[in-house]
Amino acid sequence: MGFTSLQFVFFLPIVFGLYWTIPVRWRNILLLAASYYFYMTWDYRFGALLFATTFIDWILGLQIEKTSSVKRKKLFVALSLITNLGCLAAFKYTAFLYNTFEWTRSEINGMQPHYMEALIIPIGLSFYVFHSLSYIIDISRGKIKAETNFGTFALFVSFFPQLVAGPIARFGDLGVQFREERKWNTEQFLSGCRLVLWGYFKKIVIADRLATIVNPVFENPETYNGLTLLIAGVFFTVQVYCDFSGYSDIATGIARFFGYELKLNWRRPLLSKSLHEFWGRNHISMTSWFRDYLYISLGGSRVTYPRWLLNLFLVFLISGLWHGASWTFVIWGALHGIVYIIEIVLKDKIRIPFGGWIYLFLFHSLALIAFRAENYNDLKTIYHHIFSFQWSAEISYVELTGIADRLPVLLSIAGILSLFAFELREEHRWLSSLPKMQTLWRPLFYTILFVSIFTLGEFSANVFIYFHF
Amino acid sequence: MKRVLIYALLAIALTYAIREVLYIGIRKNAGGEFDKLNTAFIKENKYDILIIGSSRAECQFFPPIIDSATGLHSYNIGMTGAVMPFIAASLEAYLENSAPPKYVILNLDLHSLGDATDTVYKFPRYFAYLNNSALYNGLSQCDSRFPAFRWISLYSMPYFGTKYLSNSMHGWMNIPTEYDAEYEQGFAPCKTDTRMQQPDSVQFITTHAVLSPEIKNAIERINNICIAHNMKLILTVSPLFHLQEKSAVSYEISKQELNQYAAENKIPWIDLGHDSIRFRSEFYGDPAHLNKQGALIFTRHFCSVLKQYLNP
Repeated sequence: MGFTSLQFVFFLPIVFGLYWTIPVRWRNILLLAASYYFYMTWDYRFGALLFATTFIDWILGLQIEKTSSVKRKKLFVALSLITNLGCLAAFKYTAFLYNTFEWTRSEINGMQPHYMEALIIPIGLSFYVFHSLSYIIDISRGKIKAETNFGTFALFVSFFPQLVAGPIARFGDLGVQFREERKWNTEQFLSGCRLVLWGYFKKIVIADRLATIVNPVFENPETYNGLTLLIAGVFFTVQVYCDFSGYSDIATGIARFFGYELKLNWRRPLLSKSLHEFWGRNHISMTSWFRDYLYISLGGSRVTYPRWLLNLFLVFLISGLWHGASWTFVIWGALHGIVYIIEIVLKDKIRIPFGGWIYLFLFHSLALIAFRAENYNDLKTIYHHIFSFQWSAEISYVELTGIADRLPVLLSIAGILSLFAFELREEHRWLSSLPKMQTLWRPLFYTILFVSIFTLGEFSANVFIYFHF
Repeated sequence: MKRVLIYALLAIALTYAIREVLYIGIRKNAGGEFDKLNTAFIKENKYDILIIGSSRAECQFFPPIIDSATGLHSYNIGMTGAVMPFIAASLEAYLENSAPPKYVILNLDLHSLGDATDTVYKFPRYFAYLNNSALYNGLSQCDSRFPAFRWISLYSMPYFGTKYLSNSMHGWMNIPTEYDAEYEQGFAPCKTDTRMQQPDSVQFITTHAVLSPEIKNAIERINNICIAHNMKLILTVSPLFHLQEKSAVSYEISKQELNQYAAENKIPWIDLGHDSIRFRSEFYGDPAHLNKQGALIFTRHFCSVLKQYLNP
């Protein structure tokens, strides 16, 4: 059951209605049951894994707090790392590692490689593993107290709005909210509604519409002109942003329906003017997770200059691998790492034209092609077609309208423009500063959003991209 | 909160209004696919011969040839993807606004036989025509979601999609689509599939031809409608591509059963299933449909037999 499924249309109002009518002491239990039900609609077996890892981390968290021995603390943290990362490695990286080994062996011995099929990854595994790990590490660092109530901790890990695709919550931010009674707040509910609407608009009207053009191009990249591939790359940049930030908006909005606040996950990253700025605005919960638990563990910036740059590069590489068990994701991470380091080295030495926006957008789009390519060979083909510069606008027009007719292409472009108009408005606050427009504009804007979702939306079954991670 | 509820209701009302505007646009199409549906479900017609069936009827019977061969006026309301119960419903829906034709030609083939599905192929294209009660009832029997499609705009709109939005815009602007010119009196040609250049390499799926009670009832219903409206029903079997025919199980038995039914009810039976065209891959658009050239040849063959069943 995803946020765009018909089941969810029934699920959410039922849970919402029950939550605000039952006695306060039952509310967390209801949310926990609803979250497990939500999760187990994909596969009931995944629920057992979620429960097992949650229970182990809850016990380990209590043990870490109880013990005064540093050695024992480290042992418990290591146990949690082994459990969580072990699950992640077993489901997500076994096939990747085995196939890489097989390929290397075949290259050396000249023997036929025997590749294995990728295992089915429990949905949202990468996200809830990060929830649990941050909890354990924060306890060991003395930042938070261990949760004594298993239900509260289990709800923190499994809270359905953010369970399968984030934002990656910290116990200090979200978990503690489950300890307190939530009071009905109309303004919070309305702001939740606005976020949900905007999230659905981004997902259904912009991202899924763009997917109808992007997917066919990336399925057969060898048949397309370099310019078409570049346009598809640019479209994918907007698609993946609208898809994921749309999910985060819906998740945050739904959490507000129940009186909870999730941390801001996106701050208009496509308006960034450098990669440095981009990573301060893009997928903030993941970026800050890697910063706090990986980058700092590697020594952060309190090391020699070359080691610091290496640390940064490693974080990007591992972040790429976290997104997907494939060399194309590693390449994506490496590209970001290299350019991030170049930006640091060249800081104040060169001036990027056009305020850096075009540079950032083009680099991000080209790098994301590695993120989207089906495999390494496709990626090579795409980059070869793009960088051979044998582009033809006429052929691209024929190719794009051949995929999706003229109207979907026009709607896609209109969707991109509306996204940038909205984000520029938010960034510069020029329209909101007009007091008369505020009262007239807001209800009208959200009414138009609602109607657009149903009139212009693309509902032909595109799950959220980040479910795959 | 009160204001929010008012805006929510306003937004919902707006979706109903927009939906109606889109449907009007669909019905304004003066050519192509939607003109055919207008003819079938809205317009008042006086055709002499009506061809009914699934996509094989739609793309294999060319009415202009039938007209010139018989001197009568014919129209083809073969509906792509239609199963037998829906074919019966489409005939009833046609009769809701039009005068009964003298002859109804029902095309039968391998794909008409077998289990009916619980969804209607390309169902959103019928949304603009649900005021036709016979069509609505027929579709609702085939697909239980149709009452919701008719009455709940928030449920039907997501299925409508860009294709139909585009068709509606074409209707409002009175600009034909690039495919409109291909339609002639309800006939729509099957586009040529590249697989037919090397038919031997095509993987044919084994298809079971079963004359289920549901199909028998639907044929019986069509016969009863014809009797009630004093229309002469003619059953016809069109040729399957020979390799496709080989993959069919129980096809001959089912055809014999249908032939027997026709004989018992004194319904003319035109079996062109063994027409030699079935060995000519160049006349097939895909393994299940003749292309336009094949359709013209087949319609001539069909007319030469049809004449004997027409009243002087």
